[in-house]
Amino acid sequence: MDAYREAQRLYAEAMLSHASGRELIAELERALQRIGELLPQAAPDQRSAVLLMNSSIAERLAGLAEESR
Amino acid sequence: MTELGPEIPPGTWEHDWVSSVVAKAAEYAGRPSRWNGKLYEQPGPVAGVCLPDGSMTISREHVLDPARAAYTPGRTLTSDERFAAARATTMAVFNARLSMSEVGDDSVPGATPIGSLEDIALENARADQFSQEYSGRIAESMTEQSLSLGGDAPVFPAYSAATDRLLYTLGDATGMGHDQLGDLIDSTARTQRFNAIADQALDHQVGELIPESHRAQLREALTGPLRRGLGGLTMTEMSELTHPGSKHKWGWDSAEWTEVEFTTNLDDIKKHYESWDAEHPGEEPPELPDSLRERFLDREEEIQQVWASKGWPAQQPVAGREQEYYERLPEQVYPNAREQEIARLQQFLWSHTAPSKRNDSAVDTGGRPDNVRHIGSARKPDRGVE
Repeated sequence: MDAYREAQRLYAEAMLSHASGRELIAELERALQRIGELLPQAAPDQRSAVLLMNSSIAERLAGLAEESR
Repeated sequence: MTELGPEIPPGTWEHDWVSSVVAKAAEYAGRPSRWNGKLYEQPGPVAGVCLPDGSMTISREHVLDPARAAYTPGRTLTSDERFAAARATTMAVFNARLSMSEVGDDSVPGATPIGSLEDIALENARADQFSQEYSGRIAESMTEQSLSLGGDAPVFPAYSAATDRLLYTLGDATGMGHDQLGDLIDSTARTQRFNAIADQALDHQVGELIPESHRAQLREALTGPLRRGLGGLTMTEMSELTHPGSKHKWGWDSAEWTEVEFTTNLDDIKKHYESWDAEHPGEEPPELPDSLRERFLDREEEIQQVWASKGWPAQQPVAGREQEYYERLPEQVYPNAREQEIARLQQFLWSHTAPSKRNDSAVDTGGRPDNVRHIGSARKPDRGVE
């Protein structure tokens, strides 16, 4: 499995999650972490795509943090 | 994981560079950024984030440091440095484009929920397209160095391909060209983008014949295909066995059928109002009849049938029919890993996104998505994806 495809799968799986509250935050953080671990294995021309997938997850996390305030 | 790094103050090279990228991106986009000028370092394996309060984060390790050499006058770059700077620029431009989107209020009726699959698909597709198109020009305007921009793997191949094709194919329906429709999307708050497309098509095609009190119902008949078409592609993006090039093709094909459903629903709406106006000039028309709304549901199922026959069910099942369909799947014998994966993804998508599982504003109190309403006639027992 190449790292880019695996990162895409993890990204979509996290975004499809129907968890809520802390469980959702934990799931998104796990996906972010795992995608980050795949970064060194990704082909150089795919690394920016992998980092931007994580940006999308991080943006969602920031939105959830804002909602919970 | 969501904590901010140290603030990057104005007057530093890093702040100046990000400011320049955002300013150039805003110039090309023709709309302002909502960035408030506050910039923080982004820790971890993340390019950067546009935060809800208008501030931004940017990765020193993955963006700022690799970019710096290419934007420092007089430097001679190695090919690796040139390549790294190009990727860093693309990421900064992607983030700059995201900073231009208004979020909107997703608690109002008919709004697209922020974070819904269709919202994520459309927003990321537009940022993907923008960064692919403008990163090279933005880099050229900021440095003498020739960076090897272009040819990057798209971040979201299926979303981007589908959105791009829809911008072309919805031209007749909306009376707008690709770029105009793109501008309409980008200048509308994320929660109202699908409604804006529907409104544009309704106004262009039927205009003054529609009473405002009918608009919400008509929007649903048009936003439904768009939402399902784009949101359903999340399953394609999720596939382990699909090559990014094939994801692009699935996105492209999905947009074709999304456009078919959108424009035929629009044609039916148009006929309803025009025929009423021809027969009863000056009289307020009735809402769409049940028979027409039933036809919209038939069409939704027909489109799913098309996908089933292609071997890839990119769309969610029609409300009310999904349980029996997905419960049957595990009993089947799959001839290969591809078939198995499709079945697994179908079950996963249904278990997470079926109308009965959702509690957002796109679903009414009866558990139906807001593009589906109970209507008087009985369902045909022999329809649906088999």
